[in-house]
Parts: sequence; structure tokens; C-alpha cells
Amino acid sequence: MNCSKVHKKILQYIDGELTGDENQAVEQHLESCNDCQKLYQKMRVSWNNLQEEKIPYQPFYYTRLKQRMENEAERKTNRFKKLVLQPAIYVIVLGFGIYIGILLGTGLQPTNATVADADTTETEYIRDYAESQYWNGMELEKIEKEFLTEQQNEPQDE
Amino acid sequence: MTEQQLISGIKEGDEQAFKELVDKYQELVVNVCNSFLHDRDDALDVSQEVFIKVFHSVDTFKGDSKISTWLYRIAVNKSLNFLRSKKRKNIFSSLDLLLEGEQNNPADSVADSEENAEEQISRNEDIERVIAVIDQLPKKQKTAINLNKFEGLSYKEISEIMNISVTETGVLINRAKSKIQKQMIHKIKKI
Repeated sequence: MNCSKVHKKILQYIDGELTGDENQAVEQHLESCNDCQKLYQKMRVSWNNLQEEKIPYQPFYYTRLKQRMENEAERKTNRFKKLVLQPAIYVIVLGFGIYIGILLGTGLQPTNATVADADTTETEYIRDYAESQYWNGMELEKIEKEFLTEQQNEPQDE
Repeated sequence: MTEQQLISGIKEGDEQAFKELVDKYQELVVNVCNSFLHDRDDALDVSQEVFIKVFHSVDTFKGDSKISTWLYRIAVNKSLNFLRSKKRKNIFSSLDLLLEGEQNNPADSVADSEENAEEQISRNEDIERVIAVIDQLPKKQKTAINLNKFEGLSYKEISEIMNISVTETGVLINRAKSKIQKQMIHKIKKI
């Protein structure tokens, strides 16, 4: 086996994935070729070092995860408030304002129907009020009438 | 609790079951994420996203596969998505740097470069070199080789996680190894 062929099989050789014959051929070449031996050593170190970076068990992992989940839930609620609730309130308030404005506008310039309604109700009210409140200064009060009647009915002693 | 009990517990909203699942599989999930991201903080961050996804989509888990297979699948997807978004952010931040140009505070740059230098020294150069090569691989090859190399999973387990055949898994791993080998030799020879 020459250098080029060994280079193509070197990782498989390191991982022990070569067949018996291939493995032996690479081994023989590495023993005889100094450059390939050096290359093999460097690659073996680099390749095997990869497995060393493991992160161990984190004791407060769940607490942090739970905190994050709560924060995210809160953020979602806030986002809902900000994106949906807040504009909805603005629209409602604006709509109400416009409605009040329209009402005030039509109040100042009433339509024919409202004028007719207003006339009749106003007249009736004034009549009722006048009837209940009217006071004729010349007319005798009820109590005066009764007093006079009593006086007329009393026998005259003189 | 058995796997089935854990899943049905979480479906019913049992917090203790979810806690048990997290405690049982956190090392696995964190390390799968780390095998893609090669950054402890990012790995812890993305692994939390994995468990949040598990919590919210537990109803879709039918129990046809093992919990670990399901977790591996979510962790791989989340990690690849994170890498994609990080790549995008990096493009924008480099654009920002270009646009900001001289506005940067020189003191900050010195501090940053010192920090980077320390970081670079502290990290194993050999690992960095191989990781750089793995990161260049196509998505499927990268997933297969990461799960095989870092997690020590068999071809069968990888095929279940990736939803492909065992033969296809073998092909992906061999292609990945061949590319890594080529790049490693090239880089070692340059040094």
C-alpha cells in the first residue's frame, strides 16, 4: 500500500473499521513510512480529542428551564396584550368617541322627525306643567270656598 | 417511571413527570446540541428550547420510537436551526462592522482582541481544526457524523433519528469521514 492509499484509509484505520487485510497493510506501511506515521499520530490525537468535550449534568438545569418557560409564557401574554388587546381598546374608544361626536352633531341639527317629536313632547309637557302650576289670583282657594260656605250656613243671631 | 408513564404524565400536565424527563435526558440533549454548536452556553440555551418544544408538542409523540430518538431528532433540528440563524446574524453583524467602520472605540477592540486571543489559546487547536472541517460538511453528513462521533450512536440508531436507511447512514458517514480526512491531511501538511 502506498502513501496516497493510506491517507484515504487513515480515519477508518483509527476507528478500527478496516477489514483484517486492509488493517494489516496500513499497519505495515506506517511502520515503514516516517511521514505517514507522523501524519497518523497527529490525526489520531485530533480525531480522538473530539470525544473529550462533554458537558456534565447541570444541577440547576430544571430550575432555569422552568424560569425560562414562565418568562416566555409571560412574554406571550404581554405580546397578546400589546398586539391585540391594546389596539382593540384603542379602536373601541375611538369608535365610541366618533359615535358621541355624531350624536352631538345630529343634536345640533335635528332631522324633521326629531323636530316633530320634540314639538309634541315639548307642548304636552308645557301644557301639563301650566295646568299643574297655573294660579289664578282672582279665583278663590278651596279653603276659602269652604270657609265662605260655612259662614253662609251658620244661623244669623243678630 | 417508565418511558410510557413519563409521556402520559406530561400529557396530563404532571410537572413531576416533566422534571423527571428533563433530569434523565438533560445530559444527552445538552451534549447533542454541543456536538453541533461547540459552545457550552449556546448548547445549554438550545437544549432548553428542545425541552420546551417537548413540553408543548408531547401530544404529537405517538410512542412508536424511543423518547431518546425523539429527543435526538428535536435537538438536531433545533441545533441546525440555531446555526442557520447564527450564520445570518453573523452576516448582518459583519455588515454593521463594515458600515460603522471607524466609529468603533479602539479600547473596546483591544479588549476584544485580548479576550479572543486568550480564548483561542485556551481552546485545543486540534479540536478546533477538526470541528472547522465538520462544520463545512453538508447538513445530512454533519448530522450523521456528529451523532456517530460525538454521541457514539450506532448506524441503526442514527438511521432511526434521521429517518433514513442504515445503508444510507453508512454512506453518509463514510463520505463525511472521507472529506474530513482529506481536509485534515491538507491542514496538517500546511502547518
